[in-house]
Amino acid sequence: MAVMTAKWKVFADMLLNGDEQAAYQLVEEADSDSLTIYVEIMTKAMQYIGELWQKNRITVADEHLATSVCDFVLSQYSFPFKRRNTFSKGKIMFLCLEEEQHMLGSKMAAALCSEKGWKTRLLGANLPLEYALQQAAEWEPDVIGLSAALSYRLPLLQGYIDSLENLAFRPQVIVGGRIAGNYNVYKYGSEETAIFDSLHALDQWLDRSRGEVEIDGAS
Amino acid sequence: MEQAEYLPLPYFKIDKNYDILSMSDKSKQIFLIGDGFLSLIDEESQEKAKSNVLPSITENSVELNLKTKEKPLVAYQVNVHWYNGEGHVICHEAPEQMGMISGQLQKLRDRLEDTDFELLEKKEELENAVERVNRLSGPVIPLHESVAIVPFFGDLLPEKLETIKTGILRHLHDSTIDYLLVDFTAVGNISREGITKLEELFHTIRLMGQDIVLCGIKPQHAQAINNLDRLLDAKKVTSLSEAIYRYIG
Repeated sequence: MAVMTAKWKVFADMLLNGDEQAAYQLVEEADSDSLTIYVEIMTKAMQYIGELWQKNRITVADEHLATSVCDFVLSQYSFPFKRRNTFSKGKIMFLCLEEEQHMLGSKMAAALCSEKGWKTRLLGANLPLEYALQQAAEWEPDVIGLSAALSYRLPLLQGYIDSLENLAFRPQVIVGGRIAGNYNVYKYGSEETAIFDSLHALDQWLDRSRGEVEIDGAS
Repeated sequence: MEQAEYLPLPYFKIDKNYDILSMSDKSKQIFLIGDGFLSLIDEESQEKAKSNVLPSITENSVELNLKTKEKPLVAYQVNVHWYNGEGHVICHEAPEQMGMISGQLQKLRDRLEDTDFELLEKKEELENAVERVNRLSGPVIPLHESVAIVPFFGDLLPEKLETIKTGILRHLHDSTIDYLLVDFTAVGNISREGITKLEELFHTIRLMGQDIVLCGIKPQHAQAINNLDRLLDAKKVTSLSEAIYRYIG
């Protein structure tokens, strides 16, 4: 066991090689729950790939390829959860701030929500606030998840939180992504804003909030 | 290098402390020059810069995120050459098209992916529907304690007969049926493989001790059934009503 390479490392190498079949197979055969797969395999692999870039061992192009392959594997893995949730726990919508391209985190969060029976919409990377507001107004989700990676977007994040929390139907705004690890992030949200610095934190929050949403959201 | 200021790319001459000794006009035009070369570099790229841009690595090429006047973060390819304790640095923007192209590829891939998965889902649905239709295409209907009828529906294809067979055998296994009326009235085509399957099915039924009565055979089935008949020695009756009359009435 000691000599066995960690799964996330093997997975990272498959991503960098563009081998989506092997990568998907690894995830399929991991024999773990989704949260573990997202956190212990995918996230760790992507962090490691980020470090490789920092060490000048790979280029941005390699990173793009790895991201795409990881994205594909995630899509394929989480597809069965996408089925219509007839007895839904509530509606949740995810988006990345304008110019934000790091969308794997929100995609994992969305997959987790689908699996837990939420009606989920993933609006994806780089969504200008006006579109976010428009989508939110049309669909009226109970929860809106915002994702960003880089700290200099904090002021922009504040604008998103502010506008979305003030919508007439008062959605709960939650924040994730690398930015949520910044100790300053709390200053940019309101008292209602929930900030999760990990998928585990989101997972626990989803389980706790389940009851409440069912009471006021169910038929 | 006297003419450095006219170079068509951002160029810096730096020392080992990252102080800027000289630069091209292009550098001044693009970057907000603060305190030394490191001030151009995004916080998260600082460590990378420090460990890759240093005199002990004479020649290096490294991707760094730099702060420009226009944007807080732009990907640059930075080439460095050290000579006599001075670093000569050229920065060229990582081709912007690459970002655009990868964005476009991403969109295309998303579309394909959705279509791919939707198709897969439809395929599964279709297979389930076919399986269900097959199962319903040969129901066993008890008419009497010793007689049951199996009306076949549609084209008799091997997969369908395989599904039907399972149902029939399960039904016959714990029943008192002596005669099984097999009705071909609603049958379309029978494929060659279908005949083989049919033969198998009839053999098995006879092994279980039931007599088979074929009815409702149309002229276009006669040839095929005829070959079967020689093997099976099954009874044949023109129509279903006659069969019912004869075996129950």
